[in-house]
Amino acid sequence: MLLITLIGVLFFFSIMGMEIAWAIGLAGFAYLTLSQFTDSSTPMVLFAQQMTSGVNSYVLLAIPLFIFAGELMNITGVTRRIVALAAAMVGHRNGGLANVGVTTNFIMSGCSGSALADAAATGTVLLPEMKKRGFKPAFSSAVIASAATVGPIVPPSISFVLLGAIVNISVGQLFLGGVIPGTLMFVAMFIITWWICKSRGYPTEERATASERMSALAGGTSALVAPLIIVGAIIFGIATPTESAAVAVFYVLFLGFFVYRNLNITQVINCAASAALATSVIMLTVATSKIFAWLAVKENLGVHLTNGMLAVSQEIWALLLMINMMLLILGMIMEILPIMLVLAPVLFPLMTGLGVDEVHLGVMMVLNLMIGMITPPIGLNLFVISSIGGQSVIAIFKEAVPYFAVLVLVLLIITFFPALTLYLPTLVFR
Amino acid sequence: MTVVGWLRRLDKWIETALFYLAGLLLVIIAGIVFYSVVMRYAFNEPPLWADEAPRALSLWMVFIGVAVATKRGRNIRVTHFIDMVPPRPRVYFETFMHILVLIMLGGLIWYNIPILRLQAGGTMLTTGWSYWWVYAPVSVGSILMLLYQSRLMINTIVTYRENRKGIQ
Repeated sequence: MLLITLIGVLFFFSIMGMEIAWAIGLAGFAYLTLSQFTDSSTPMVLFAQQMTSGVNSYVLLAIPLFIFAGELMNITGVTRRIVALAAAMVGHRNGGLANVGVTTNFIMSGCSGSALADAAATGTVLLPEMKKRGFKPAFSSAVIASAATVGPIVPPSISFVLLGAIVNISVGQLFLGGVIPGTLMFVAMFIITWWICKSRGYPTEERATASERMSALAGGTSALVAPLIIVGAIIFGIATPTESAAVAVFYVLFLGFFVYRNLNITQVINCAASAALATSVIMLTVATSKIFAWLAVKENLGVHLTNGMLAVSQEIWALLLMINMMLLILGMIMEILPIMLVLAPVLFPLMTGLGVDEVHLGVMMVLNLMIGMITPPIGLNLFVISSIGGQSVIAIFKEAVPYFAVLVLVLLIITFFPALTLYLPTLVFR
Repeated sequence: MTVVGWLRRLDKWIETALFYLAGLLLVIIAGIVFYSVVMRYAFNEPPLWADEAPRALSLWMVFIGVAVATKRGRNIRVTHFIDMVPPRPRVYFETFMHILVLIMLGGLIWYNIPILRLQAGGTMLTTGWSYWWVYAPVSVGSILMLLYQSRLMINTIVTYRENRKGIQ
């Protein structure tokens, strides 16, 4: 009964428009209140205590620092430089500006770690240009929304930091585990864009001259160094993810103050305040999810889920397929953060107990949830791009269907060939 | 200027102050973490407090930031289904949800009091700060959120009434 209350309140209120963090918190609060009328009451004080302990984590400090670094990169013109670099490299090929968008998002993913931030940054720059070149606006929006899903798969990734903190997995291993799947996503989306644009006769850009390429490369190189610092510091054991995020912040500050010379103290404080606000919204969800996950474990939700899944099949491949289907469906109707925060503590012990590697499962889970970001009704990337480009969510999704299909294909490849995910973490860490 | 005008200015000033305070805390956190990396590699003397201090500061940053996000209506919500509900039942349901959140925030403030009392006497190992600094942000943030959430609820009702008058 209490378990049904917990899950029912969460689903009902989050779908009906309550702030996601409060819907999760309310589910826990309702559970605790009702438990006072049972023989096995849970102390109400736990609610307040878990709110603090949920966010009191050194690993989670990486999130505001990565967001801060991303904000600084936008304001110092790094996004523009990356677009110029991508345009010089691939703009003249079939796909034109659409594939410039795909490539820009891939490069950006090595800097920011947030799909929404990448979609907003690249959409603002590229959508008006694509419209001028005659690309169908809904298609342009679909390309950018889909391409941004690679952001949280390629390191650094806010989703991997969160997952690492929740289920106690090495964030460094998750970062490395995302490199090959992220590259596969990029290649798959590049090819499908190439094919669609060629068949529709969309224009390409003029081939950049050698000097233009060198100039774009010089401009973009400073941006490309950021992910190398972040990932390199973690791989070589120089810094933890949190420390490498702080190093990235100071690297961008250095670029802004001394290389580009377009940054001042007021802008830094503004970026920090915006990053703090964005972080707070995420952290509130983390805090309320902590109590939810605690109660879910207390109510043996994992055991119920395990029994249910094992009743269908005991084959690992079938269980992974079931998890994929469950996450894809949930990703369509719920925001991704609560899905991860609530389900990860339940799914990970179950699947790792059956021999599935936790890094493989982590990358698979985040990839699943990223696909959810381009599927209606609750695809946040679609909403962000819709607000920038002015196209309806449904019109964008119709154009995004081929991208949805190739991303599901990549997901299946990642699911059934764990070596693709585990090759780099094994090479470096194990 | 009327009293309401002054209150509005004060309200805006407090929001701006909280917004920049959260930003300033993030800058300090970034500085401390970076300083600890430099001290470890350049001087082989990592400061022990560089773990506890940024965590405590981050709690203040988060709960102050959440209050500002609440005022600005920035907390993540999915309005796809509620948008399909007609205005009148929608305002009733939204008000009901606001009341539930207010009750929960009241509970959060109330049940954090015994924790504050219990923890205030203890001190952190490396900074020597009282644990009050770790557990107080939830209370401070919840009080601010309680005020801003009430305001959101009142805005929902006022907007509905004004829209109805406009239609009539």
